[in-house]
Amino acid sequence: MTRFVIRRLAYMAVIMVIASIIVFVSLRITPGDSTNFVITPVSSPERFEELRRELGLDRPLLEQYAKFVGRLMAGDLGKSDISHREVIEIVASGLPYTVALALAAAVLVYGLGIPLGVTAALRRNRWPDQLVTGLAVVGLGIPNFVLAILLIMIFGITLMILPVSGAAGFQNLILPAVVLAVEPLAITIRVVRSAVLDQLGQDYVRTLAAKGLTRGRIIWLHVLRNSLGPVISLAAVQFRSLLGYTLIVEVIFRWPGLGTQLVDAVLKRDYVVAQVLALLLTLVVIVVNTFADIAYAFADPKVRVRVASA
Amino acid sequence: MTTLGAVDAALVSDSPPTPLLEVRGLTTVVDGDGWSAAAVDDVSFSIGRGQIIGVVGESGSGKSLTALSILGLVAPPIAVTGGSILFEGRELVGLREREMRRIRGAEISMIFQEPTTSMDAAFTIGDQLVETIRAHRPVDRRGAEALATQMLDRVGIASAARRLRAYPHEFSGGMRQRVMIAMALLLHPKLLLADEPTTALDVTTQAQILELIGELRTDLGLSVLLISHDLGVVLDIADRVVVMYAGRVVEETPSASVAGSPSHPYTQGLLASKLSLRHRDRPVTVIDGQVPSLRHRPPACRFEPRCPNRLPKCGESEPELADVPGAERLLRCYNPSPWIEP
Amino acid sequence: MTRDVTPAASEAVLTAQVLDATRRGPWRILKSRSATIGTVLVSVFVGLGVIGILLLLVPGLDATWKAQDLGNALQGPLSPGSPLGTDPNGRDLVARSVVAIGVSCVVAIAVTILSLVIGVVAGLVAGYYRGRIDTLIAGLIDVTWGFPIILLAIMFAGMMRPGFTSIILAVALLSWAGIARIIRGYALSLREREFVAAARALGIPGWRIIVTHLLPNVTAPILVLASYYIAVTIVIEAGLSFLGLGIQQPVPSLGQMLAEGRNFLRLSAWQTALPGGLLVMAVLGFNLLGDGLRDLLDPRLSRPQS
Repeated sequence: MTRFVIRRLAYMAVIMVIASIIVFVSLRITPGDSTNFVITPVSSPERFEELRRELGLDRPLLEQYAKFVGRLMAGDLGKSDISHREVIEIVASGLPYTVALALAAAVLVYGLGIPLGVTAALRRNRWPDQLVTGLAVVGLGIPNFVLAILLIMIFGITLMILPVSGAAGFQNLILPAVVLAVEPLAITIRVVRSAVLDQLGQDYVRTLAAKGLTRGRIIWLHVLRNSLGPVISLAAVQFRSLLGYTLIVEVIFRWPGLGTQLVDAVLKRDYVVAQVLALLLTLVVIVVNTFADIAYAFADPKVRVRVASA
Repeated sequence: MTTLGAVDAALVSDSPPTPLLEVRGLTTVVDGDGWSAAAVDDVSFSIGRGQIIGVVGESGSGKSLTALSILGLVAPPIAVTGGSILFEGRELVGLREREMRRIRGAEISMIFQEPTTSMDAAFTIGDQLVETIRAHRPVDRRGAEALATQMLDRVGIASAARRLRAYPHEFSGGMRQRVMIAMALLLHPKLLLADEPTTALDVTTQAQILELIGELRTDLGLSVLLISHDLGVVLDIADRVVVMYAGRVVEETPSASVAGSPSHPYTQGLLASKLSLRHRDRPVTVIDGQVPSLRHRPPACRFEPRCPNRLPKCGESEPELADVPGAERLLRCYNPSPWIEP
Repeated sequence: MTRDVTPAASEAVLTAQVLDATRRGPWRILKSRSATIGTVLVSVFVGLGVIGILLLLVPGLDATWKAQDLGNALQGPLSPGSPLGTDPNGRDLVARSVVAIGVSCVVAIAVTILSLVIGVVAGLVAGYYRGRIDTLIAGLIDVTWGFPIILLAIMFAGMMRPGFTSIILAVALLSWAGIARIIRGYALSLREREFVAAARALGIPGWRIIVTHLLPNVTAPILVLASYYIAVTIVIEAGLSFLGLGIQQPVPSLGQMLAEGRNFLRLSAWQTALPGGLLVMAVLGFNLLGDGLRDLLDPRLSRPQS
């Protein structure tokens, strides 16, 4: 087991280094007027050489790379060519919005997913179950940006009750959070339903009833507690896909989070911002993935055995 | 607690006991896909205060379902469709769920076969014991823990107070069953339904658990419905034995009579089989054939296909459960033969 | 947006039933209603797609979908001269839709084939040889598998010009992992079978065993996975194009049309309804086809999660 953890951490480090090298190289060869990492056009060849020395561009690539990593870790993420804002400031401005969106979606996914999943399990094969399961199937079938447009049309334009862009107030959070939550919600409902059904067939439930406990306590305290295992493993897995979704949803609703910043930067050919941001997000994803994998291996005894024997 | 038990014991020996539990004509039906059958078919018996009644039968006889029916723990597609269950004169069949809940765990308790899976593995036994108490009485947590510790002690769990913090999987099988018993008796119920409590345990532990149940009966004035497929277990501590086959009661008699002179061919078969295990040099005696499934029961006497005593009329009509004159016994058989010790 | 496949699938052992089903022939697919719908939808879309590619590539035909007529913009369906209406630039939507379908299909199919090739090879090699090469490949799979494709695609779009190349690279670079994972599982169990042991005893070289024995036995999951991954890729490409980081103008793509239409939502819902509807149907078609194939061939597989 420890070997697995060490191996995954090692891979994580390796991939992070590779990602940073890729970004470093592409920043060096990118066209554009970046004064941060690449030299600007200068008046004379002598001045060129001077600047080269000043900026350290005549040093071996390895040294430049080391400096690059050093600067990143010190928090100096460079400056945008176009707006001349510090990248780190761009990150700071976008991060809270992205986090808020993700949290709102999480609240929806678990706040709705768990009760609905339990209800579907309790009323198995009757109409509440069929309704909930049917909705889950639909939720999985529609790509989220199509759903987003659909909702924009209904709520934003036809009914005019919800705002569809920007982040002026709390209502702006509703539609993006809903769109983001739909697919993970559908999956969570199915997982919870199946886990609860599993538990309901266990012996201890019968004992609890024989003790005279109320149905509510049996379900919502005991059964639910025992059902959460698979849900937690699922959460770890869902975390990974979340990032990709968040990007698109942010852009559609013009929600000023990191996703919008990234896509805007790419579209405007603001290479420094685009690539440094992308690198940051990549690093976050890699770290999260690794820990999710490790957590998953711990939580699921079947996986643990397989992994240990690998 | 002990004085109360002594008083009840006195009651038992003096007057004809008013039955604590009276089951009359209980019928529990299982609904399948396009068919239905009575897994418990017109079953009657009664339990007096401080009595241990043993119910014996192979799996499929309906004995577990009888106990579950008493507590109303059956859910569709299984349902109690007929008969009456009087507990202290109160009708339990059709009782509102809320009332039933008050009885479960407090007046009538049940313990099950598998102590391992019968407890919630995610909570400590202390939590589960306290939960039981507080579901029925307004006791604060500390008071409940004290009661729990006392009961754990009573059933033979060492260092009871410390063990409250332990999880079910930290106990051995026998200890777990003791915990289950403690949990069932926390609120001093008058009746304990024990569904195969020793089946999952090894022989030594079996004896200990049975001894414990016997003690508790004496000390607490507890009545017990002991269900087992093992005649030996039942004969060990039960006062009377009810023999069930394919949903029907086929014999009812004091356990001394069963051990000495069983009447029904099925009971005789069970006893012979049990006794034959003692002789290692001879093949084990078995009853030929199998218990009929719910859907395919013989139309007349249900034991007829396997019965060594069968007569033509056994295949034509089912015998009634009748009093045997001159003996304290109920028997459902056209052709019993006297018992010959093998 | 690669979806996760249940671990059970990767541990699956091929049963006689599976092999038997493949022998009974392709007509059995009609027994499943979802599979039939899926097949029909897929055939329609692929058919239209072919026409679309022709329109795209054959010089002289591009007027059909490029010709702008601003006076005639934003027409609804069933307008005179334009059965499906026109887009904000007056371009005929029939032609544009057909080409867009073609583009989506081509990208999806090309990428999926590429991912399949890499994934199947990697999976079979890792599963069959085990040892160090398996550790290496399995490690690669573990790390790659969970990475959000969208992010990588955006990165690539940032580093090189957005378009066909960046999408294909980004998607193929990550999708192969999910496929390899499953195929590796199959390989792991197949290699324990007798016919493999027999072949090895005969001294047949490893690569040959893989090609002649293992490969035919994984055609079933390959077909199922192909359907699912095509569906997933269509969604990814549409998403990227929607963001403006995918297929660039004037070549139409469903995602792109969706984005254009989005700006005109107040004026005409049709502009988004048309590409949105086509997109949903295409994805649905491939998913259903995948479901049908899976029910037919190997029910242990499940839809990948994006």
